[in-house]
Amino acid sequence: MDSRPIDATEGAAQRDAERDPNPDVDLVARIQAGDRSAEAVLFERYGARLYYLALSRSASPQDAEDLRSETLLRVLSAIRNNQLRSPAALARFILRTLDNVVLEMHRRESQASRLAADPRANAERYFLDDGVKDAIEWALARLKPRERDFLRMYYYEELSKDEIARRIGIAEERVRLLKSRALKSFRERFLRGWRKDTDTSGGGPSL
Amino acid sequence: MKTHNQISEETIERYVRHELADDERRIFEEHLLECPECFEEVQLMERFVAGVRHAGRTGLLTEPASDRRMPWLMPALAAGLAAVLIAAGAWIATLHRSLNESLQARDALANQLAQARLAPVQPVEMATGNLPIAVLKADRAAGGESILQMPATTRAVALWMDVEPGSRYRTFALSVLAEAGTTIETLTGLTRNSDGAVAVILPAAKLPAGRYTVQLSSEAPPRLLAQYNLRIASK
Repeated sequence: MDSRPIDATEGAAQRDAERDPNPDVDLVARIQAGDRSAEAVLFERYGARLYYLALSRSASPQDAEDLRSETLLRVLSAIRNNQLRSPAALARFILRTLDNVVLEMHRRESQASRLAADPRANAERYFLDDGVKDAIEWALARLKPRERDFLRMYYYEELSKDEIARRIGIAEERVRLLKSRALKSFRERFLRGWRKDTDTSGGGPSL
Repeated sequence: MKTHNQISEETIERYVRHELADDERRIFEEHLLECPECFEEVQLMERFVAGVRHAGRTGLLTEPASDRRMPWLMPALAAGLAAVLIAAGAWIATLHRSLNESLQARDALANQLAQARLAPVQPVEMATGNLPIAVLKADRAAGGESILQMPATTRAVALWMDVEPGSRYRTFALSVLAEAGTTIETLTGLTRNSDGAVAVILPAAKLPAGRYTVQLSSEAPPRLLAQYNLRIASK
């Protein structure tokens, strides 16, 4: 299964459905009534987001894939067997199930493999592609040297804001402005590249 | 449960940086499962942070020492360049005069040849005596631009772009885009000159008065290194 993260690609119909106050209540009822298409909707609605949450709890993309599959199967089984007490709180139930599956996985694994897990590096490997590199270089080219210094110290060296202020004298109120400006440039460039890609391929990226 | 509008960019960043307390994190993740808009924002923030960290690792966020310790270097380079250009302009003007004299002599000869019913020689193209140059800088604030005043008689313009000292890239490509986004010129196989900069000369006819975007990329691997805003103004 392709495990790329979901983007701004979900269909308008799905989004409209999710703006409904309790879309999960209807979904749960349909699954309990044996509607197989509703099960597909469950996977479609929560699959990508669950994979992302699993990624931050696992040592590798493969582990995250396993966590997602196991969690969705357990959730589906619970719904079919009427074990879900509050259909409106389906998201909370999914998150709790994910954490249980993670705990069981950790119990099975050795201490060494748990120590090898680095969720942040995991996420970085997962999200860093050519489109991101291009957009970030484009955004950085629009910053002044001192602003690039700030980004390096804050995101890469992970220094505290106090320490950064001491080193380069950048005011707290300016920090938020600078981060927003850099993110805005990045967003514009990345989404423009993404739209160009999807225009060429004739469709949005898959999960 | 918070709504999408109650989630700030700050919260999303703190989540991505693993700075939320456990209970905050759990509440936020519940919201994330239910809110496609916030999920998209989180994905974008993950990409942004991953990109900045990658840039930090690969040295893209590290300013060259020369820029920090010798802030006068760029103006000095520009002044030096201007002096060289003035000298080159004077030299070309001398050549111009010499060429004019030659042309006058040639015209006289052509007249004689015409009188002898021989076809006159076609006039040769004369070299221009001035070369407008734009020193492009990538660290301008968004919306900033370099303005190049171009006399109507100009036949070529020079663009000068400094490349970060120690850059691992050997060859470069340059694209000039019109305001509408169409590519006007693409030059490949460019290398740095002895001053460590990439400099190109373009025909003025390709750059009428207007706004342009100039993109400098490495060729191996192909990667956008800098983008500049250039405005050509008629003198």
